[in-house]
This record gives sequence, structure tokens and C-alpha cells, in this order.
Amino acid sequence: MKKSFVLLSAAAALVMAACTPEILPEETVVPEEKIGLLSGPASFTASFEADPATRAVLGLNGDGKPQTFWENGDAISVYSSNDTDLSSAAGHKFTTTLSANSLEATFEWDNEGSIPSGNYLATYPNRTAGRGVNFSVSPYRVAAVDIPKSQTLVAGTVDRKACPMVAHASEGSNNLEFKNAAALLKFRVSESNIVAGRIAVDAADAISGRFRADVDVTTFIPTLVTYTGQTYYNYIDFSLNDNTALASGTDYYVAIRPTELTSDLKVYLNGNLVKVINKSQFSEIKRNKIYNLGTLTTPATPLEKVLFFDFTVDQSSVDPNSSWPTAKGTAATNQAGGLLRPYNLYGVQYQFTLADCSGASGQQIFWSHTNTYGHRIVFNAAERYFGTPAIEGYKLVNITATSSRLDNTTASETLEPKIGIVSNIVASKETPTYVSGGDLQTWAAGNNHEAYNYALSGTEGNTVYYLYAKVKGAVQTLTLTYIPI
Amino acid sequence: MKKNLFKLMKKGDYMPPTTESIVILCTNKVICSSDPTGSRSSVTEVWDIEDLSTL
Repeated sequence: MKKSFVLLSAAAALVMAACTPEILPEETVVPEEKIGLLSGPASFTASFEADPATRAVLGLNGDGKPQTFWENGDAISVYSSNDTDLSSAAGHKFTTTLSANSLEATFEWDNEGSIPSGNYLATYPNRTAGRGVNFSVSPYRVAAVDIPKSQTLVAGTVDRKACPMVAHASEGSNNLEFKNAAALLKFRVSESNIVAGRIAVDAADAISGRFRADVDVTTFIPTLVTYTGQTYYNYIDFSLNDNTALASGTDYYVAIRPTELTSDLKVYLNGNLVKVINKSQFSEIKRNKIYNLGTLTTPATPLEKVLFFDFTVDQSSVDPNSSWPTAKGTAATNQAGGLLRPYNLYGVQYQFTLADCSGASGQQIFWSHTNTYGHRIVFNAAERYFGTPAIEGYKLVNITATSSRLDNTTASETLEPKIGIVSNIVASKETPTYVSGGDLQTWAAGNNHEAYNYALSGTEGNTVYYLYAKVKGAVQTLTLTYIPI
Repeated sequence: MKKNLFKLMKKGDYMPPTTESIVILCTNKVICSSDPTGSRSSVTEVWDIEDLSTL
């Protein structure tokens, strides 16, 4: 028999409403002093005014206002101030069983017995790994509260795992009132070919990543703050879980960290900038707010394209003919302007260029398919070139590349790649022309997945620019930013 | 139905899960209190809405 915790449930509320004190016989195990607890107020049943079975997870309450509904199987982590391992505990997992989505739910502990008494903090979603919680400071601290940088859209609601909540209960209380730690951006699309998007800010404002929830000891309102040792992002990517097109006329939601903004908030669809919210008009994302961005439409000439090319996937997913070379060749087939290969992104075919230096004896740049260390573009020898797509009417202004390991066998690599951005291919031992902002950077050795940024200036429209490996290395992803000429 | 269940129940009797939860809830000293604090009216929070569609 599982012990039961804490939350007043919708189902329980129905029972409670029936259990007025006069019908409770002495034979029950309910102590008299607890009878008051069973005399739930009438408002318990008010949450059933609408048909809960028809509601989305993010639905409207009886007052017609948006509110998060519990789903069957939802789990929370509960911490007691008298737990002995708060610095590293995953918390006590409690799970609810519901026949329909509900604003209120009973959660039962997955284990036998009871958890230590004390003050309680609880998180949704449930945490499976040890995370620190601190009751000894003001505000209370709950570490490792995530706003994912990649979120899965769900039609008409939010991916709840991306939308954390935190609750507090004082000793003796059996109620956990969850408060939203995030804010939501709500939007619709007007086109039928939108498969992905991005929310971004130019500045280093942290809008996604792993935060710490600082919980006010009086109001129990959580504030997400950054803390040491975590990685933060100034963007959030989103798509449907099967990467199909978003339905026009349907509400979608993205969770975002509440924070002050030091630059404009930008929304991209299929890599195209579709909306800019100026900082002078909107400078703070507030907790527990749903910001309606309206219906988004791609302009005829987007003011920016931010294209994310992922070379960790199998090339067949972006090139139906799998035509990219996957290993080194004995002949230098990538000279004379290089080898053009396609990458289909958002329904558009972009061309990359694989090139060996003039005079090279063999093909030494390819899309490695060895699975041991993941797929990636390998500069398997020095003086190899990887040309970015030229786009009509646009010029390349920024490259962010993430690194990968070089070979498939060496457990520990020590060679540090040197990568720059150039505008031309030259013979071996000659120096190509580095683009302004594209000077050689020394990358860390090995499989570190670090990002290296090149902010370019003086580039021209409809022109190929190359990642040039002065010292050999490997690339995992490229994020390319273009603006109209 | 619920009334009958409570009338018939004695300590140690089998109880259906929903009723069981209520009884245990109120016999668990760790969790229960005769004077529980905090709101019982909601376990999630009502979202505010702000329109940015015209910005």
C-alpha cells in the first residue's frame, strides 16, 4: 500500500465534498481532529465546471483564463527540509493517476512509508538525477531547473517538460501550489511550409539553459537565475517532434526564461527573420506571462537568414542521393573549384563546396560516416576548404562552427586545429585571403563540441566563403547568418 | 456510494484506491495537520496574458 502525499486532488475533492463530518463513523481511521480537512470548501468542485476531458494540457479554467492542467502519470519531485542529502538528492518522486486532465491532482509517493516531515519544496517536471536544494538560505534555492534550448512544439499547448514549476509547502501543510518558473511565447504561422523556428536575442541574455530557482521565502515565487558551471543560450529552437510542418491557424507555445533583455527579441521561421520586437518597446520577459506574438508571416525579403546545418546526421536525411564523399580519396577530386554537394534545409537546396588546395595529391575533406565519434565534416589534411552556400541577394555575415574530433581511432587527440574564413582557394603553401573577422582561430583539440564564432565584415552577396583549415580538424555544425545586400 | 463506503469501513478494511488515499492522507502525521496552511484552491497557477502582436 502506497502512502499518499500532499496535493488536494480533483478526485479527492469530489470525495471530500461527500464526506461531511456527520457521515463519518467513528470506525473509520480518520481521526476526529482531521475532519476539518475533509470538509473541503465548495470551491473544490468549481474546478469541474468545464469538461476536463476536452481540455488541453494548457487549457482554460472555469474563469476562462489559461492554466496548466495535470495529466495522468505526471510526476513531481518533493524535497523535505529534513532530508539528509539535500545537496545531491533527486527528491522523492510522487506520481498522479487521473482519468482526465485536471487543475488539481493527488500525487502519491512511489515508495512505501512517508518522507521526512519539514518544509517542502517540489518541482515539476520530476527530476531523475541528484540536484541540490537548499532550505537554509533566503531565498530558498532549487538547482537545475531547465528551460531547454531545443523544444518540441505541441499543437494548442506547451511542451510541459519545457515549462518548469516550483511549489512550497510549510510544515503541516498538505498543499503544494505550483508556480510557473517560466514565461511562454505564443504564436501562429500563416504559411504551410514552416517546419522549424528559433527565438533569439543578439546579446548574451540567457533565455535557455539550466538555471537555479530562487524561491522567495514569503511569496514562494521562483526566480530563475544563472549559476556557476552551467551553459546558457541566447536562443531557443523549436519544431514538431516529427519535423513536419506546423499547422497554420493553430496556437503554439515556447517556454522562455523570464529575464531583462538587453537587445531586440527576434523570431525566425525556417531560418528567416519574421519578427523583431524592439527592446525599446519590450525589455523584460516576466514570469507567469503568456506573450502573444500573433500570426507570423515570412516577409518577401527577410531582413536576416540564420541557417543551421547539422553534419552529425546521416547525409541521406539532407541529400536524397547521399552524394557527399565519406572517406578520403587517393585522387585530388576536389580541386578546380571544388566539389559541390547539396544540403536540403526547410525545402531549399543549399550547395556546399568541398575543396582541396591546388596541387594536393588526394581528396582529404569529406562527410565522415564512422559512427564511433559521430558524423562530421573532416578536414583530414591541412589546407582544405569547406565552402558555405552562396545565396542570391544575401551576403554572409556570421559563421558559428562547432568542433568535433578529427579521427576515428585516437582516444585522446592533441592536435589543435587552426581554422579561418577565406574568400579564395590557393595552392599548397600559399596563403589565402582572410575575410575581415575571419582570421585564423586555434580550436581546442579533440571531441569538445565547442563553438567558434566569426563575425565577418566586407563580404559580398551571392558569394562562397570557405572555412579554411590551416591545421586539420573537424566540424560538427555550422550556423550561418546572411543579410540582404 | 461514498457515504456507504465510509459507514461500512473499519480500521483495516479494504478500501478502494480513491478512498484509501483520503484516509491515509489524514492519518499520515507527516503530511496531515488539523490546521493546514496554504491555499487549497489551486495547484497550478493562472497565466497572465500580454499581447505583443502589434509590436
